[in-house]
Amino acid sequence: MQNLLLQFAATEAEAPSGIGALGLNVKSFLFQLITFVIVLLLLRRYVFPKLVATLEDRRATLEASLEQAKQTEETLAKAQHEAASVVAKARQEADAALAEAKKSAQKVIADAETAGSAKAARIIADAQADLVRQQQQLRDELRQELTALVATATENVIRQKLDRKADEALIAASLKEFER
Amino acid sequence: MIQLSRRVIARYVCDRLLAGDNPKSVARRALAELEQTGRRNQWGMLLDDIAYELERRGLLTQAKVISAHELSSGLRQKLERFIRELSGTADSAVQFSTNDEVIGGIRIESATRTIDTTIQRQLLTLRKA
Repeated sequence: MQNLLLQFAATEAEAPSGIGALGLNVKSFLFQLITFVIVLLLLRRYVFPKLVATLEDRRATLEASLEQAKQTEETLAKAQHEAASVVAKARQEADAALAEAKKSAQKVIADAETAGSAKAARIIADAQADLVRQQQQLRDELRQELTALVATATENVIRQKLDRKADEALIAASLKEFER
Repeated sequence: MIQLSRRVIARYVCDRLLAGDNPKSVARRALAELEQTGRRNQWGMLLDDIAYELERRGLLTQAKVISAHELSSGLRQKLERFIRELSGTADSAVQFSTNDEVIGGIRIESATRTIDTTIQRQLLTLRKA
């Protein structure tokens, strides 16, 4: 192969004519062409398939990665959307629960106030009734004591003043009253 | 054994006395009836029932008159007449007694009624009012 190359190189040293006048060396060109073809065939046979396969694998991997990334992006978007809706829903529920709690608290306060007022009114009424009862009881006791005093005083006076004559007059008057 | 009530026995006694039976034998029969039925201790009550029956029949009024002072004979007669008229009986047996606690007025107790015009009762009514 090296001899062939040297022969071709020596031939080129001769005076160029025809196409050689244009600066083109046919032999060199053919040699380069053959070399090129051989290299091409070698490459095509041994390198290109592997290279293409590798490139193809890489392309497929890239495509898969891109697809996966796309899917991931879609999933992420979907998840974000769902999260946003869940957060919105939770916020709504929290607001509703807070409003309900406020309402319940206000109702409890109002009920407690009403019950407290009613209880206070009842206590006052009971106290007033008790006071009236005590007053009446005191009046009754006072009246009883006064009556007892009057009766005792009357008894003492009558015992002193009512003699036999007066007693007989009293009895006679009673009989007249009965006869009427 | 049939147990006769005291009222029935009293009515029997009155009937027998009016019929002219001997009062002692009538009394013995009545006492025997009480003894047979274990009511000997009710003899006093039977006497009250007999007095009640006699008064109810208008035959006799047994009464007690209680006063604070001794009553004059005129007033006693008035009272006896009053008692007879009140109970509508022909005869009366009135027992007069005194009790300082009545203070004044009289209390008449018979088998069918009690009339109390004493100062004691009036003061008691006043105290209870």
